[in-house]
Amino acid sequence: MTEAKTVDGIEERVLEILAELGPERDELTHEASLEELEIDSLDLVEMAQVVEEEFEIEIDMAEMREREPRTIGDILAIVRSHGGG
Amino acid sequence: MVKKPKKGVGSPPGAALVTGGSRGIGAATARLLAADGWPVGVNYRADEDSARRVVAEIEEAGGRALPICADITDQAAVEAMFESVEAELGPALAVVNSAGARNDHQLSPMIDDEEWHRVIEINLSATFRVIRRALRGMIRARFGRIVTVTSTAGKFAHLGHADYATAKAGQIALTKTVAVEMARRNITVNAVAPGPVESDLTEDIDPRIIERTVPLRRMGTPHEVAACVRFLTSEDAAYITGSTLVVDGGYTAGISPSQ
Repeated sequence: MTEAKTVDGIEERVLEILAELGPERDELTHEASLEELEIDSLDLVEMAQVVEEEFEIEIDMAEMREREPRTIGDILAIVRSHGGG
Repeated sequence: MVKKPKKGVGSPPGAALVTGGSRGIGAATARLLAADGWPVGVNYRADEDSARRVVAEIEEAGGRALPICADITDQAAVEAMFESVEAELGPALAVVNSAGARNDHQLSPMIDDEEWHRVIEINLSATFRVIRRALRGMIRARFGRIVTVTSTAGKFAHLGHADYATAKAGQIALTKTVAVEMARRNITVNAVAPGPVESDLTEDIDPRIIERTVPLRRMGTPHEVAACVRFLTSEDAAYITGSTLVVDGGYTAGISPSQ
Protein backbone atom coordinates (compact mmCIF):
# COMPACT_ATOMS: atom_id res chain seq x y z
CA MET A 1 0.00 0.00 0.00
CA THR A 2 1.28 3.49 -0.86
CA GLU A 3 2.05 5.44 2.31
CA ALA A 4 -0.18 8.41 3.00
CA LYS A 5 1.29 11.65 1.84
CA THR A 6 2.11 14.24 4.45
CA VAL A 7 -0.53 16.85 5.15
CA ASP A 8 1.91 19.61 4.16
CA GLY A 9 1.15 18.90 0.54
CA ILE A 10 -2.58 18.57 0.91
CA GLU A 11 -3.57 22.12 0.03
CA GLU A 12 -1.61 22.02 -3.20
CA ARG A 13 -2.97 18.56 -4.02
CA VAL A 14 -6.55 19.73 -3.46
CA LEU A 15 -5.95 22.62 -5.84
CA GLU A 16 -4.41 20.24 -8.40
CA ILE A 17 -7.50 18.01 -8.21
CA LEU A 18 -9.85 20.96 -8.62
CA ALA A 19 -7.79 22.22 -11.56
CA GLU A 20 -8.30 18.84 -13.31
CA LEU A 21 -12.01 19.60 -13.32
CA GLY A 22 -11.70 22.56 -15.64
CA PRO A 23 -10.60 25.74 -13.92
CA GLU A 24 -7.15 27.10 -14.61
CA ARG A 25 -4.79 26.67 -11.70
CA ASP A 26 -4.33 30.42 -11.28
CA GLU A 27 -8.11 30.89 -11.04
CA LEU A 28 -8.16 28.87 -7.82
CA THR A 29 -7.52 31.69 -5.39
CA HIS A 30 -8.87 31.51 -1.86
CA GLU A 31 -11.53 34.07 -2.72
CA ALA A 32 -12.62 32.37 -5.94
CA SER A 33 -16.30 31.41 -6.04
CA LEU A 34 -17.18 27.74 -6.50
CA GLU A 35 -20.25 28.77 -8.47
CA GLU A 36 -18.27 30.90 -10.91
CA LEU A 37 -15.71 28.12 -11.29
CA GLU A 38 -18.62 25.68 -11.88
CA ILE A 39 -17.35 23.37 -9.15
CA ASP A 40 -20.31 21.43 -7.80
CA SER A 41 -21.10 18.67 -5.32
CA LEU A 42 -19.91 15.86 -7.61
CA ASP A 43 -16.57 17.61 -7.99
CA LEU A 44 -16.31 17.91 -4.21
CA VAL A 45 -17.10 14.21 -3.81
CA GLU A 46 -14.25 13.42 -6.18
CA MET A 47 -11.92 15.76 -4.32
CA ALA A 48 -12.84 14.14 -1.00
CA GLN A 49 -12.23 10.66 -2.40
CA VAL A 50 -8.74 11.56 -3.57
CA VAL A 51 -7.92 13.24 -0.24
CA GLU A 52 -9.07 10.12 1.58
CA GLU A 53 -7.03 7.79 -0.63
CA GLU A 54 -3.83 9.81 -0.72
CA PHE A 55 -3.78 11.38 2.73
CA GLU A 56 -5.94 8.91 4.67
CA ILE A 57 -8.11 11.81 5.84
CA GLU A 58 -11.84 11.21 5.71
CA ILE A 59 -13.86 14.30 4.80
CA ASP A 60 -17.29 14.25 6.40
CA MET A 61 -19.50 15.14 3.42
CA ALA A 62 -22.50 15.86 5.62
CA GLU A 63 -20.44 18.42 7.47
CA MET A 64 -19.20 19.78 4.15
CA ARG A 65 -22.82 20.36 3.09
CA GLU A 66 -23.73 21.97 6.42
CA ARG A 67 -20.87 24.45 6.20
CA GLU A 68 -22.07 25.47 2.72
CA PRO A 69 -18.69 26.27 1.18
CA ARG A 70 -18.84 29.06 -1.37
CA THR A 71 -15.17 29.68 -2.12
CA ILE A 72 -11.96 27.77 -2.63
CA GLY A 73 -10.85 29.11 0.74
CA ASP A 74 -13.92 27.56 2.38
CA ILE A 75 -13.02 24.17 0.87
CA LEU A 76 -9.45 24.37 2.06
CA ALA A 77 -10.62 25.36 5.55
CA ILE A 78 -12.88 22.30 5.69
CA VAL A 79 -10.06 20.01 4.58
CA ARG A 80 -7.75 21.56 7.19
CA SER A 81 -10.36 21.06 9.90
CA HIS A 82 -10.35 17.32 9.15
CA GLY A 83 -6.66 17.11 9.88
CA GLY A 84 -5.36 18.42 6.58
CA GLY A 85 -2.64 20.70 7.87
CA MET B 1 -5.99 8.67 -16.46
CA VAL B 2 -7.43 5.47 -18.03
CA LYS B 3 -7.95 5.83 -21.75
CA LYS B 4 -11.25 5.13 -23.40
CA PRO B 5 -11.23 2.41 -26.09
CA LYS B 6 -10.99 3.65 -29.64
CA LYS B 7 -14.09 3.12 -31.71
CA GLY B 8 -13.81 0.02 -33.82
CA VAL B 9 -10.80 -1.32 -31.92
CA GLY B 10 -12.88 -2.67 -29.02
CA SER B 11 -10.25 -2.67 -26.35
CA PRO B 12 -11.94 -2.13 -22.99
CA PRO B 13 -10.38 0.49 -20.71
CA GLY B 14 -10.37 -1.64 -17.57
CA ALA B 15 -11.93 -4.70 -16.04
CA ALA B 16 -15.48 -5.97 -15.70
CA LEU B 17 -17.06 -7.33 -12.54
CA VAL B 18 -20.20 -9.45 -12.55
CA THR B 19 -21.92 -10.19 -9.25
CA GLY B 20 -23.75 -13.49 -9.23
CA GLY B 21 -21.49 -14.49 -12.07
CA SER B 22 -21.35 -18.20 -11.32
CA ARG B 23 -24.64 -19.12 -12.99
CA GLY B 24 -27.59 -18.06 -15.10
CA ILE B 25 -27.66 -14.57 -16.52
CA GLY B 26 -24.52 -13.57 -14.60
CA ALA B 27 -22.46 -16.43 -16.01
CA ALA B 28 -23.72 -15.77 -19.55
CA THR B 29 -22.85 -12.09 -19.10
CA ALA B 30 -19.35 -12.87 -17.87
CA ARG B 31 -18.71 -14.99 -20.98
CA LEU B 32 -19.93 -12.31 -23.36
CA LEU B 33 -17.98 -9.50 -21.69
CA ALA B 34 -14.85 -11.64 -21.80
CA ALA B 35 -15.46 -12.21 -25.52
CA ASP B 36 -15.47 -8.43 -25.91
CA GLY B 37 -12.02 -8.29 -24.37
CA TRP B 38 -12.92 -7.37 -20.78
CA PRO B 39 -10.94 -9.17 -18.08
CA VAL B 40 -13.80 -10.35 -15.87
CA GLY B 41 -14.16 -10.76 -12.14
CA VAL B 42 -16.70 -13.56 -11.66
CA ASN B 43 -18.25 -13.05 -8.24
CA TYR B 44 -19.95 -15.86 -6.37
CA ARG B 45 -21.16 -16.29 -2.82
CA ALA B 46 -21.02 -20.05 -2.26
CA ASP B 47 -20.94 -21.98 -5.54
CA GLU B 48 -17.20 -21.99 -6.14
CA ASP B 49 -17.30 -24.94 -8.54
CA SER B 50 -19.67 -23.15 -10.88
CA ALA B 51 -17.66 -19.94 -10.74
CA ARG B 52 -14.46 -21.79 -11.56
CA ARG B 53 -16.21 -23.49 -14.49
CA VAL B 54 -17.20 -20.10 -15.88
CA VAL B 55 -13.64 -18.84 -15.44
CA ALA B 56 -12.23 -21.97 -17.13
CA GLU B 57 -14.60 -21.55 -20.09
CA ILE B 58 -13.55 -17.93 -20.48
CA GLU B 59 -9.87 -18.80 -20.33
CA GLU B 60 -10.27 -21.68 -22.81
CA ALA B 61 -11.79 -19.18 -25.20
CA GLY B 62 -8.77 -16.94 -24.84
CA GLY B 63 -10.13 -14.50 -22.27
CA ARG B 64 -9.10 -13.53 -18.75
CA ALA B 65 -11.19 -14.09 -15.67
CA LEU B 66 -10.92 -14.42 -11.93
CA PRO B 67 -13.32 -16.12 -9.52
CA ILE B 68 -14.03 -13.87 -6.52
CA CYS B 69 -15.87 -15.13 -3.48
CA ALA B 70 -17.82 -12.39 -1.73
CA ASP B 71 -21.12 -12.08 0.07
CA ILE B 72 -22.26 -8.76 -1.32
CA THR B 73 -24.53 -8.11 1.66
CA ASP B 74 -21.31 -7.57 3.63
CA GLN B 75 -19.70 -4.14 3.11
CA ALA B 76 -16.21 -5.39 3.95
CA ALA B 77 -16.59 -8.23 1.45
CA VAL B 78 -17.65 -5.77 -1.26
CA GLU B 79 -14.54 -3.68 -0.57
CA ALA B 80 -12.30 -6.76 -0.71
CA MET B 81 -13.96 -7.86 -3.95
CA PHE B 82 -13.17 -4.58 -5.68
CA GLU B 83 -9.63 -4.60 -4.33
CA SER B 84 -9.14 -8.08 -5.83
CA VAL B 85 -10.35 -6.94 -9.22
CA GLU B 86 -8.19 -3.82 -9.10
CA ALA B 87 -5.10 -5.76 -8.05
CA GLU B 88 -5.46 -8.67 -10.49
CA LEU B 89 -7.40 -7.37 -13.50
CA GLY B 90 -7.41 -3.59 -13.44
CA PRO B 91 -9.89 -0.87 -12.43
CA ALA B 92 -13.48 -2.13 -12.41
CA LEU B 93 -15.07 0.07 -15.08
CA ALA B 94 -17.90 -2.23 -16.20
CA VAL B 95 -19.94 -3.52 -13.29
CA VAL B 96 -22.94 -5.80 -13.67
CA ASN B 97 -25.27 -6.44 -10.74
CA SER B 98 -26.64 -9.88 -11.46
CA ALA B 99 -26.79 -11.41 -7.98
CA GLY B 100 -30.30 -11.88 -6.73
CA ALA B 101 -32.59 -14.03 -4.63
CA ARG B 102 -36.28 -14.62 -4.21
CA ASN B 103 -38.36 -16.22 -1.46
CA ASP B 104 -41.06 -18.80 -2.06
CA HIS B 105 -44.44 -17.59 -3.26
CA GLN B 106 -46.24 -15.93 -0.32
CA LEU B 107 -49.00 -13.37 -0.22
CA SER B 108 -48.01 -10.17 1.58
CA PRO B 109 -49.69 -10.85 4.97
CA MET B 110 -47.55 -13.99 5.29
CA ILE B 111 -44.14 -12.44 4.58
CA ASP B 112 -42.25 -12.07 7.86
CA ASP B 113 -39.64 -9.43 8.61
CA GLU B 114 -36.69 -11.76 8.15
CA GLU B 115 -37.85 -12.89 4.71
CA TRP B 116 -38.57 -9.30 3.66
CA HIS B 117 -35.18 -7.98 4.79
CA ARG B 118 -33.30 -10.87 3.17
CA VAL B 119 -34.74 -10.17 -0.27
CA ILE B 120 -34.34 -6.40 0.08
CA GLU B 121 -30.73 -6.84 1.26
CA ILE B 122 -29.60 -9.19 -1.48
CA ASN B 123 -31.42 -7.58 -4.38
CA LEU B 124 -31.44 -3.87 -3.53
CA SER B 125 -29.14 -2.87 -0.69
CA ALA B 126 -26.28 -5.01 -2.01
CA THR B 127 -26.74 -3.49 -5.47
CA PHE B 128 -26.44 -0.05 -3.92
CA ARG B 129 -23.26 -1.02 -2.03
CA VAL B 130 -21.66 -2.41 -5.18
CA ILE B 131 -22.60 0.67 -7.20
CA ARG B 132 -21.34 3.02 -4.48
CA ARG B 133 -17.98 1.29 -4.41
CA ALA B 134 -17.76 1.03 -8.20
CA LEU B 135 -18.32 4.77 -8.62
CA ARG B 136 -15.16 5.55 -6.69
CA GLY B 137 -12.92 4.29 -9.49
CA MET B 138 -15.24 5.30 -12.30
CA ILE B 139 -15.45 8.93 -11.18
CA ARG B 140 -11.66 9.25 -11.28
CA ALA B 141 -11.37 7.34 -14.55
CA ARG B 142 -14.04 9.54 -16.19
CA PHE B 143 -15.59 6.32 -17.49
CA GLY B 144 -18.00 3.69 -16.28
CA ARG B 145 -20.65 1.24 -17.35
CA ILE B 146 -23.05 -0.01 -14.71
CA VAL B 147 -25.81 -2.44 -15.62
CA THR B 148 -28.22 -3.93 -13.12
CA VAL B 149 -30.27 -7.00 -13.88
CA THR B 150 -33.64 -6.07 -12.45
CA SER B 151 -36.94 -7.67 -13.51
CA THR B 152 -40.34 -6.97 -15.02
CA ALA B 153 -41.44 -7.65 -11.44
CA GLY B 154 -40.11 -4.17 -10.68
CA LYS B 155 -42.55 -2.55 -13.11
CA PHE B 156 -45.76 -4.51 -12.60
CA ALA B 157 -47.50 -6.47 -9.84
CA HIS B 158 -45.81 -9.75 -9.06
CA LEU B 159 -48.21 -11.83 -7.03
CA GLY B 160 -46.69 -13.70 -4.14
CA HIS B 161 -43.45 -11.75 -4.26
CA ALA B 162 -44.08 -8.29 -2.87
CA ASP B 163 -40.60 -8.24 -1.39
CA TYR B 164 -38.90 -9.15 -4.66
CA ALA B 165 -41.05 -6.72 -6.67
CA THR B 166 -40.20 -3.92 -4.27
CA ALA B 167 -36.50 -4.62 -4.44
CA LYS B 168 -36.58 -4.81 -8.24
CA ALA B 169 -38.49 -1.54 -8.49
CA GLY B 170 -35.92 -0.02 -6.19
CA GLN B 171 -33.14 -1.12 -8.52
CA ILE B 172 -34.87 0.75 -11.37
CA ALA B 173 -35.15 3.96 -9.32
CA LEU B 174 -31.54 3.60 -8.20
CA THR B 175 -30.48 3.18 -11.83
CA LYS B 176 -32.19 6.40 -12.90
CA THR B 177 -30.90 8.50 -10.03
CA VAL B 178 -27.28 7.37 -10.23
CA ALA B 179 -27.39 7.78 -14.02
CA VAL B 180 -28.34 11.44 -13.76
CA GLU B 181 -25.87 12.09 -10.94
CA MET B 182 -22.93 10.53 -12.73
CA ALA B 183 -23.53 11.38 -16.40
CA ARG B 184 -20.99 14.21 -16.31
CA ARG B 185 -18.26 11.68 -15.58
CA ASN B 186 -19.10 9.63 -18.69
CA ILE B 187 -20.59 6.94 -16.48
CA THR B 188 -23.72 5.31 -17.88
CA VAL B 189 -26.07 3.45 -15.57
CA ASN B 190 -28.77 1.23 -17.00
CA ALA B 191 -30.87 -1.78 -16.16
CA VAL B 192 -32.13 -4.82 -17.97
CA ALA B 193 -35.53 -6.14 -16.93
CA PRO B 194 -36.01 -9.76 -17.90
CA GLY B 195 -39.39 -11.42 -17.89
CA PRO B 196 -39.54 -15.19 -17.42
CA VAL B 197 -36.05 -16.57 -18.12
CA GLU B 198 -34.81 -20.11 -17.80
CA SER B 199 -32.98 -20.24 -14.48
CA ASP B 200 -33.09 -21.88 -11.07
CA LEU B 201 -35.42 -19.09 -9.94
CA THR B 202 -38.01 -20.04 -12.62
CA GLU B 203 -37.68 -23.81 -12.85
CA ASP B 204 -40.97 -24.29 -10.96
CA ILE B 205 -43.05 -22.26 -13.41
CA ASP B 206 -45.65 -24.27 -15.38
CA PRO B 207 -44.74 -24.00 -19.11
CA ARG B 208 -48.44 -23.77 -20.00
CA ILE B 209 -48.64 -20.47 -18.11
CA ILE B 210 -45.75 -19.15 -20.17
CA GLU B 211 -47.44 -20.16 -23.41
CA ARG B 212 -50.61 -18.35 -22.37
CA THR B 213 -49.02 -15.15 -21.06
CA VAL B 214 -45.90 -14.53 -23.12
CA PRO B 215 -46.62 -13.46 -26.73
CA LEU B 216 -43.46 -15.22 -27.91
CA ARG B 217 -44.76 -18.29 -26.04
CA ARG B 218 -41.55 -19.28 -24.36
CA MET B 219 -39.16 -18.25 -21.63
CA GLY B 220 -36.09 -16.30 -22.51
CA THR B 221 -32.59 -17.69 -22.15
CA PRO B 222 -29.79 -16.32 -20.00
CA HIS B 223 -27.83 -15.65 -23.17
CA GLU B 224 -30.60 -13.45 -24.58
CA VAL B 225 -30.59 -11.30 -21.45
CA ALA B 226 -26.80 -11.25 -21.24
CA ALA B 227 -26.61 -10.00 -24.82
CA CYS B 228 -28.59 -6.95 -23.74
CA VAL B 229 -26.29 -6.36 -20.78
CA ARG B 230 -23.33 -6.66 -23.10
CA PHE B 231 -24.83 -4.11 -25.47
CA LEU B 232 -25.28 -1.63 -22.62
CA THR B 233 -21.60 -1.89 -21.70
CA SER B 234 -20.51 -1.38 -25.31
CA GLU B 235 -19.44 1.79 -27.12
CA ASP B 236 -22.60 1.57 -29.22
CA ALA B 237 -24.65 2.23 -26.08
CA ALA B 238 -22.67 5.30 -25.02
CA TYR B 239 -25.72 7.57 -25.41
CA ILE B 240 -28.00 5.36 -23.30
CA THR B 241 -28.26 6.06 -19.60
CA GLY B 242 -30.92 5.89 -16.92
CA SER B 243 -32.93 3.43 -19.00
CA THR B 244 -34.39 0.00 -18.36
CA LEU B 245 -34.35 -2.40 -21.29
CA VAL B 246 -37.19 -4.88 -21.04
CA VAL B 247 -36.39 -8.39 -22.31
CA ASP B 248 -39.58 -10.38 -21.84
CA GLY B 249 -40.92 -11.84 -25.07
CA GLY B 250 -43.68 -9.23 -25.04
CA TYR B 251 -44.94 -10.30 -21.60
CA THR B 252 -45.50 -6.76 -20.33
CA ALA B 253 -46.39 -5.19 -23.67
CA GLY B 254 -50.03 -6.18 -23.39
CA ILE B 255 -52.47 -9.07 -23.24
CA SER B 256 -51.27 -12.12 -25.13
CA PRO B 257 -53.44 -12.86 -28.20
CA SER B 258 -53.78 -16.45 -26.98
CA GLN B 259 -55.80 -15.37 -23.90
